[in-house]
Amino acid sequence: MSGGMYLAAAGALNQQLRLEMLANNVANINTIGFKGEKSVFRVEAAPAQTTFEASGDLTQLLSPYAAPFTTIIDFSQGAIRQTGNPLDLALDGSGFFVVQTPDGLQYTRQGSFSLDEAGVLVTPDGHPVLGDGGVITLERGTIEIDSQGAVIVDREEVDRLQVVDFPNAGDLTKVGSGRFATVDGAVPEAPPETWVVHQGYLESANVNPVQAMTEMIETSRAFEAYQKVIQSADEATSSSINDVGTTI
Amino acid sequence: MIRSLWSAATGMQAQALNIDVISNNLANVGTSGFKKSRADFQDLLYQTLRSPGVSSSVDTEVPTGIQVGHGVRPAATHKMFTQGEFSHTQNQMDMAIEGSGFFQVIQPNGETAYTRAGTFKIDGSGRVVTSDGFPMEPELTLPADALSIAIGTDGTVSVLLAGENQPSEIGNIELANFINPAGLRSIGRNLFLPSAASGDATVGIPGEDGFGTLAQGYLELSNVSVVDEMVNMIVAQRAYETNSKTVQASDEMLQTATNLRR
Repeated sequence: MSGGMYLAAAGALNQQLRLEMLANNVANINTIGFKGEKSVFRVEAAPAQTTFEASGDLTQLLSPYAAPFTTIIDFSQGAIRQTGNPLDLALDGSGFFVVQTPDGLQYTRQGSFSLDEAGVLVTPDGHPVLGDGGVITLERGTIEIDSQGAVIVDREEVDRLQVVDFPNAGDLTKVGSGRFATVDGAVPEAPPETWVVHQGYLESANVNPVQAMTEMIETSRAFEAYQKVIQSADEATSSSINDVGTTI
Repeated sequence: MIRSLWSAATGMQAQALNIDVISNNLANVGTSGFKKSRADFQDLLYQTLRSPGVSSSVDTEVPTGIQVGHGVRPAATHKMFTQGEFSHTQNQMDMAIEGSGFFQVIQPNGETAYTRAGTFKIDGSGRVVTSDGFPMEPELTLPADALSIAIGTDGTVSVLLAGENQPSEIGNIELANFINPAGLRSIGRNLFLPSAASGDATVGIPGEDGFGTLAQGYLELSNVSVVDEMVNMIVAQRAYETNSKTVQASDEMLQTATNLRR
């Protein structure tokens, strides 16, 4: 049987994964603070040669594997839009708000916060947002949040929002609900001075519909190309079974 | 089956909800005291096919993994209590709250409801009631021979009686407030009910302790901005369309896969 058939099938499965990733990006095109994902195809040549060197057949030097597919989170800035709501916060620049969840500290850029019945600043699903002094409890009054995250109620500074950053993009994984969790061992650090909090604004998703649609076309076509490879391999096998050796 | 079909379906459902919220906002653009809502979304859970940080050999590790998301879910419809614009009506029973706070009204079942709509009227027995006839709390009754009514910024209500030249005070309008007004439950008729998320009502005098002041002869319009809603509608509709294309792409890929075997 032709190994090309399995190679093409692996490639087609990669394209399917890629479409699933794109579908998730597009489904979240209106999710505040959402960070899209990008696909990475990477050829690792080493294992192919070591495995097949013995055969001495040059064609076997081709990688028997489809390029491994991985995704990376695209942490680029999303567009910032005005809402006028005092508890809507947008982070401009790198960094994350810190959220206390039952699963430990998590990080988010989804700044559509509100107060709960005790006056605690919480995310849309009710987890407290942390300041330098822990959970932020606000009294009724005029709430102002300045560009460096100081929470001011009636002209008196109550607390300061914690904003942290991570040195490597691989330190965070998505856990859904607009939040990220750290991979084991990753330690947050103070962000560079470039971030700014905008009160009354929200950060839109950083998914670009044009790019998403283009990639989707590319994915569909690549999938079709793999189908043709499988069909050709199938035809070749069929010919060698049925036609070779027959007399006309 | 391919996950992208379901992810795209969640995206379409979410945008349909978004349109529902936007259309309700637009339908109430002329409703006094109406507060607009906004649909907030969050990404759904992720399936980790390959964790970042696992070792790929003795001294190398995978810098990035594969996480496939499953789409989007609506997280909240967030009510926004920003101030609406004021319209001068010259009607002496119209009141607007400048700042935070709610009027309290008693529903027929005895429960207190809260409203920002200051379109009060006087019923047959002289009581101050809402357009639906629900009396204001604390109850306020005008004497039958009252010529005019004056409402102070602090809620003091005084009337000028026939045959007198000095107005006399007949009561006070009190306002209620909540630590988290966004957590109030809308029940229609411009009314809100408290919920576990909003906290309990605190009652006070207009103009004191962070309560807003009253403006007689004015109405608070809805805080819906037509331009914003139209822009939101375009965004939601296009997002819906984009998601439908994902469904098509998934469908075509499934078809391609099915056609492998001839």
